[in-house]
Amino acid sequence: MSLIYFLFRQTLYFAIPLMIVALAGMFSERSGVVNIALEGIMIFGAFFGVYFIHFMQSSGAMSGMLLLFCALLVAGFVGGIFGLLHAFASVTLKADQTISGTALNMLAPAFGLFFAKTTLDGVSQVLFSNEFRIAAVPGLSSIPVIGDLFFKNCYVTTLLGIIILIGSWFIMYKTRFGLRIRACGENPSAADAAGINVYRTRYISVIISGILGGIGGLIYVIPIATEFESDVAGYGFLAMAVLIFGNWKPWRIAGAAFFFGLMKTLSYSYTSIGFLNALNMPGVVYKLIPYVATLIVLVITSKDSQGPRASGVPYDKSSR
Amino acid sequence: MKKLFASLVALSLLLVGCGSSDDSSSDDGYEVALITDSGSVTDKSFNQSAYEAIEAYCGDSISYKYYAPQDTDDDGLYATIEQAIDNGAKIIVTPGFNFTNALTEAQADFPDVSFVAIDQTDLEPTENTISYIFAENESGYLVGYAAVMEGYTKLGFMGGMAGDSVVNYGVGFLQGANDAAEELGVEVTVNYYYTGTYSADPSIKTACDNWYVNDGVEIIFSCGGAICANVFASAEENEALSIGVDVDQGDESTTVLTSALKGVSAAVTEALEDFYNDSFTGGQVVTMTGTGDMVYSADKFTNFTQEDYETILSKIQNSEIDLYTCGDVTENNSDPSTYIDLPNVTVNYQS
Repeated sequence: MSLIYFLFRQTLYFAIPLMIVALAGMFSERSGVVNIALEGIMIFGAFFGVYFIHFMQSSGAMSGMLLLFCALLVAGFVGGIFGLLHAFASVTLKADQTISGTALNMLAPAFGLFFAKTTLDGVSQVLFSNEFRIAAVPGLSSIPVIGDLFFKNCYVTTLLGIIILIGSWFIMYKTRFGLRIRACGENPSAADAAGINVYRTRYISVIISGILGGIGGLIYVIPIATEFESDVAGYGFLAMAVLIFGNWKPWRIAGAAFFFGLMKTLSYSYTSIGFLNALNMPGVVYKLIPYVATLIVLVITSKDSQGPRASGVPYDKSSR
Repeated sequence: MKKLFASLVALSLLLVGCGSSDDSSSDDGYEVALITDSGSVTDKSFNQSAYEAIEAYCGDSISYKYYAPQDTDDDGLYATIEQAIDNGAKIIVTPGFNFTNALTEAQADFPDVSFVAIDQTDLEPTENTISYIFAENESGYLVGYAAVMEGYTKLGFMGGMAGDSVVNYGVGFLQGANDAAEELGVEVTVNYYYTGTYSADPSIKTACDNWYVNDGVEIIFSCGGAICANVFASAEENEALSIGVDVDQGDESTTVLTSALKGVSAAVTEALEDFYNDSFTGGQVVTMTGTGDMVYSADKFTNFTQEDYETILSKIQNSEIDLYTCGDVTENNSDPSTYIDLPNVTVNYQS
């Protein structure tokens, strides 16, 4: 049983940031702006979040949950600004969104390294200590099963991820704004004719995307490292795969993120799982599974799997 | 608006241009040059050790300078070597395997300049180059020995890419653990894995968590550059221990019991001494042996005493122990225990 708790917790480390960043991508893409810059946004948000934590911890000005929340705010804020750059290039300047995103992806790690080296006496790694893990939530952790799953060795960020998931679903499907986002992503001309300001809607969506991406970046890095060197190991791109796997829909994205997380976990802990270890397969096989599974799922679901129609096409009023 | 933007861009280009030209200006020339690769001289690793050795040797009497290349690809490194030579460098120290290609060209193009290659196992040095590689198995042996003597019987080895250096550390670690286990009459298991990367990745933390939680591993030797971030994070979460590599990593995490050291500064000092005593002989690959060391701090160890440490250290440094090397392991990326004899160690190799 403890093995199941272990696997579940490990899965969350992968799944929560992947889900948040994929939801970030969903906001942008559903409004019609391809956001390949997720990797860069994650790095940017994580960098400044960690940088903030680093300075608060070394000066002792802030600690504990307050620090975590402030750091998340910082990460979201700079992520939003980074998203704004993407929105400016791809909405106002009508640039090729893939190229703008790629440029931002190249900018983010370089900027992070440069900024760290110039301000931290030539060191590119920003150190931080992880004081945010909650060993056991008082009261709740003694609930059988659920207590072990959710309330031991847990992070507040897991809860935040769930809130973001529900919030995203609510905004996207239960509010007027969500309907407008979707309209702008499917048929911006029609949306414009109906009186929706396409540019403004896309701007807001891409900024939301940046905020979530930045937060996702920080959530990604906190539990897994003791220092940050402007690198998120391709998880921004993995989040895009999750987004597509999840068919641009919030609940499916959550499912896809958990599937990826579980497979990632299995591929590095299969030796402790009796029957998998008994199969005696090389470890590479397990590492392949998430990717092979993605391909298979895409082949099976590709008929119903459709991205937003206008995604990637800059909206030009005059072409209406 | 567009004009304003364009002029801003032009202005920024101008400013950037000014910035970099400042950088390369020099007055009298610097005889000793250190060129860093991706790290800087405060990277707590190779570059820093090399620079400190240069500082210590040169002092005020010899002029020295370090160069940080803007691009760390082959062309960028070569350009920085040229820049150092333009600034009057007579001897250039290049730490790190990234330099292999750039240095292969530069040593042929500038025969009058002496080069010191650090840790470049694939380099073929010419007359003006001396190449230092390291017997990492010595310090690997020490930390493996220390961990088992301290009382740990479940160890982990988390390597980076299975290159010669990492394999050297690995076989040393296994042999050290084995010898200590024989002395104490215990059986030791070592979980052994090459991550295939030197960059941090969450899956490395999962692998470590798995070892600590499900396999009961007590201490993991993190042997691959930036993967230490994940190993240390895992050790902290599971209140377990870790071992650092190359330089003293004790200040990066409280879980670090000790660190296996690489004698970069010893090599640089030796090269500079030879150079200024006119006994610099290029064209050779020097393996630094008998310089293996680890970090010993009395407040971290309880069973493995200072005396034990000094005894085993002197044995290593006088080469009294017949150590396995990466040369004994035919296929680098495979289980080393199939090639070497380890009666008291069970290796759980993961592919």
